[in-house]
Amino acid sequence: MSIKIYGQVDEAELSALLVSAQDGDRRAYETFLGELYRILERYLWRRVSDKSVLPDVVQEIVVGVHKARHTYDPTQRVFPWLMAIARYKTIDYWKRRKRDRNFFTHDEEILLRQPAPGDEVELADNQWLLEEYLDVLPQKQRDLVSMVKLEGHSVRYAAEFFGMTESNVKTTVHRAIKKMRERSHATTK
Amino acid sequence: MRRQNKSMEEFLGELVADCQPVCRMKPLWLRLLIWIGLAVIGIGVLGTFLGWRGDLLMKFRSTYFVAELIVLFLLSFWAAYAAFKVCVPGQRCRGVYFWVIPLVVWLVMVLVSFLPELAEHGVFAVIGNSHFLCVRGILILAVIPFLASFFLVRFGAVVYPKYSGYMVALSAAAMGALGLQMLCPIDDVGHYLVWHMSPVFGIAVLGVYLAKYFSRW
Repeated sequence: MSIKIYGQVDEAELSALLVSAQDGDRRAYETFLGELYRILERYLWRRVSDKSVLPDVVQEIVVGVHKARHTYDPTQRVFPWLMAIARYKTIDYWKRRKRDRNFFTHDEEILLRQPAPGDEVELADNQWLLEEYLDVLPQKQRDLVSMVKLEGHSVRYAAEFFGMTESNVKTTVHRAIKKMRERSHATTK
Repeated sequence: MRRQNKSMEEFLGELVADCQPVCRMKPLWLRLLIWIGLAVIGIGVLGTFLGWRGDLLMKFRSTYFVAELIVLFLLSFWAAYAAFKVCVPGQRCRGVYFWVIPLVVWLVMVLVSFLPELAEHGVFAVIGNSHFLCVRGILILAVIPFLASFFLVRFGAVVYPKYSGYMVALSAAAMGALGLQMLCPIDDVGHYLVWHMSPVFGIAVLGVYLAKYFSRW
């Protein structure tokens, strides 16, 4: 049975590409991943409200499909297999993101909170203060705080980027925030 | 690997470069067969090491005893079936809940024997003394079935971690309880309920908790 996914991709064709990829055919795998990427972008567009994270979620799912490609059974339909992975990886992504955001205390969040838009004077002050606080940190801690707390990347992403473990990143960022808080208290006194 | 700032082509190129022929998952029936084989051998070896109950051959003449072993085997089998089925994405179906039937039958069998004794002798007399050796026995006998199903499930891609953990632990614990039936000489139904049946549920719940640590991929 041949089913068109989102009116464009033939499911049987996608299945054949994946089966070839399981046998090590790189060209078939390249075509499969290209199609998969487009399917996922369309699939997630209506399901993910924050469009800025869409590329991240799509990449998470594609990596998941890559890791689980040996589990695909050629006698079964490919679409339910793909969607089960997509669903699992999407939920996993949100759980992790939520967990990463929750590991700072309320004080730490206040310290790093961005000013309201339009408040230029306060923004400039805060920017200056933030830079001053960041200056007390060693380079590594500064990079990690910038990446995780200011740019909004996940702990996992920072860990992969710096070649550290996730718990190590959390500890380093936690220590950095503590130092910044101490600096903040010293300034207010 | 810094994924976020990479272009789609670059990212996909890395995955394509990593494309090697993969070892496909074995069919479900073969995985089940491997698991049953390992579990039976494991229980046979460990049971011999721990020592079978003296009246084992006599007990095989009891219909109730044999029925209980069959029910435990079915519980273990269907739990393993569910675990192996759901470790392949998109494979959840009604069959993964078949384990509920032998579980209910097992509960009914034990409770039907237990309640009259409870009414006659009272709760303390029926439950009897502590027999932690039985719990230890289940744990020892469940080790090989557990490891076998754990590695077979890990080879897949678990998309229902808690359910998979529960099924892996339940199948192993039920197999352990089956083995213990042939080791423990105490036939009191109270003892059976507390020291043979409860640990099975305890281990299964532990499986749910531990799954989140061991099922990531």
